[in-house]
Amino acid sequence: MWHQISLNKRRSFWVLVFMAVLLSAFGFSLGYFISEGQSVEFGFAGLIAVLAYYLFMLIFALYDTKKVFFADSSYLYNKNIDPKLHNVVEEMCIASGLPRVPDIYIMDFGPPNAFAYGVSPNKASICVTSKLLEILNRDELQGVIAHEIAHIVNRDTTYLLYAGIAVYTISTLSRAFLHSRSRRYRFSSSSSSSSSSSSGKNSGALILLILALIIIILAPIASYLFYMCLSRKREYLADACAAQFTRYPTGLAGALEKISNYSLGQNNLFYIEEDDDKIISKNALVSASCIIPNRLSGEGSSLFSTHPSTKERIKILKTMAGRADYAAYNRAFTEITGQNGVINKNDVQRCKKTLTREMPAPSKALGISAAAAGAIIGEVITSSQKTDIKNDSKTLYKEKLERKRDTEDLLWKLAGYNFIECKCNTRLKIPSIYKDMEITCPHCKAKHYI
Amino acid sequence: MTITLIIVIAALVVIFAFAGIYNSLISLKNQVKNAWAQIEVQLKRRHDLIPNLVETTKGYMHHEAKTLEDVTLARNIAMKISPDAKVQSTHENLLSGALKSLFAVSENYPELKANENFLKLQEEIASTENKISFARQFYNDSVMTYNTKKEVFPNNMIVGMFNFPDFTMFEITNQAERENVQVKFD
Repeated sequence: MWHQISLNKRRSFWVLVFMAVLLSAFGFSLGYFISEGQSVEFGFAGLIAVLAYYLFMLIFALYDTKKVFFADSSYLYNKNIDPKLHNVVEEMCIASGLPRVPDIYIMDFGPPNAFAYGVSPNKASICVTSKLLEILNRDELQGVIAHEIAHIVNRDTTYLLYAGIAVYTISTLSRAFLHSRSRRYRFSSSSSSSSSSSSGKNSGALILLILALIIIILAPIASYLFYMCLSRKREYLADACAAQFTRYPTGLAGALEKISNYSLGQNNLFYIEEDDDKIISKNALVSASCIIPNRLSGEGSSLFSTHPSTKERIKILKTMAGRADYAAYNRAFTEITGQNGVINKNDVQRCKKTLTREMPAPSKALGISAAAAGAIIGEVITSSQKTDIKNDSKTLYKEKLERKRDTEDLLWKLAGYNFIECKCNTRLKIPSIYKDMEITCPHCKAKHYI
Repeated sequence: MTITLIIVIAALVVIFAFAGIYNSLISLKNQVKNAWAQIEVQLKRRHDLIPNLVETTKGYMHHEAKTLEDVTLARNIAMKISPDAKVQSTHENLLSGALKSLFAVSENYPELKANENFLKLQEEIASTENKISFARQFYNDSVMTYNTKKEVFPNNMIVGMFNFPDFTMFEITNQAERENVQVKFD
């Protein structure tokens, strides 16, 4: 199976490994510094304490997601209220092959935004603000939902959850540590001078101590940079996927434009009546999978933002004009940014299972000439039918075959094909653009008049 | 001793690589089949949806009993899949036509257009159409991935040993659909 591990997974895996190393180094330094360089055991104690804290936060996040993200601020979306959003999500699930339709949550406050959340594609949720539903039309909403679904399908939500909690752990602990230290030094400068003189006896220990301090101070920034590295490329990838799923990049471009225009000068989504710690944890976990970054001031400081510049994303999507595949996205990306393409074909994940469950029985709805778009299907599944036969009894197999043929024929017909039955049991499919008056059967060479 | 070890390791590597390729091909094949099943589901859904529409519109369109009858009739005919493809095709087109005329005459009934149920139905129509085209699109994407995977080296050698079917993509062969839409204002 290791053969299939895509480049992207590997890259993300290494970023996560670096994160783990950083977390360990941070814990060790913290323990070592607090003990003022007395022994290495304190370092290991610190390491274990920090890892335990990380695990606690992770478990908290995994089991308490609904509470952390949704309970107080949003509610589960009900299809009966307004089927549009549900339909759009379902459509995008079909387009992406996501096995389960994610839970949909609505948030009644904040600027237009959307984010995806979930440990695995089977437990994913999507949250949108009601402002978003208000200002976007159907095509634009579809683009946004496709972007979020792409985050789920590509496992971005999973990676970013692990990485986000590491960033949160490191930044809070580092901040708490520096806060307590600065206070202590300010109020008792005598103790600090005595400690520095005692450790001054061993210059090696002093160097280690300074090194530990540097790690403690730089770890939050480093972890955040790793996090950006993980999330920014994935943002382009999600855009490319959204274009591929909807086949309509203009929709997402329009949505991004509307959202960023609306949000100019607005506050952070989560700055509303929330206390400080909550904001940070939520931001760390959520901001990277938002359709647009939470801190809009971050537009300028591109090094530290989770998202690439929105203007650039819009430009790339608009440059794709008419095409919607990854190659087109790559070309547009190169044209706009001058860098090499971002999307590796292997980056795109696929779900092992696809949406197989039957759609819920249509309660009050109808379809119209839906398949009428001119699509056709060729001689599909002839040899696969042979393999099927081993499993199914012969009659069942025949039924299946007939049903398959019927559906195929239907699609041929809808594409404007005419059928002619030959004596040799061959069914000739003649496209509407075929102008000749007669056609020869490829098997028995008999001539047919049209 | 070392040589035996190297041979054993090499053999293991080959076996694992082989198994990996085989398994990924199988899962891709199943994905294609699933994608195909999804199209069938959506096509069936299309037929199932029609009675609801007729039920909703009945109360409003007293003068259009004929139109409604046509829709029901066309749907019932289309559901019986005829062995003759040409006939079946005509039936499906008949159904499309009947539905179109139903929606055309619905414009004359403002009460109906204000009906919440009817609006929901219109949303469902759009969605079902989309779902069929997205299902088809996903099928195409799956087939493309599968075919590419099958043809590249060394997978093509493995494919030769087993029976991996060929799948064909949906393609637009209808000339009218290929051309860009011309908009004219006279």
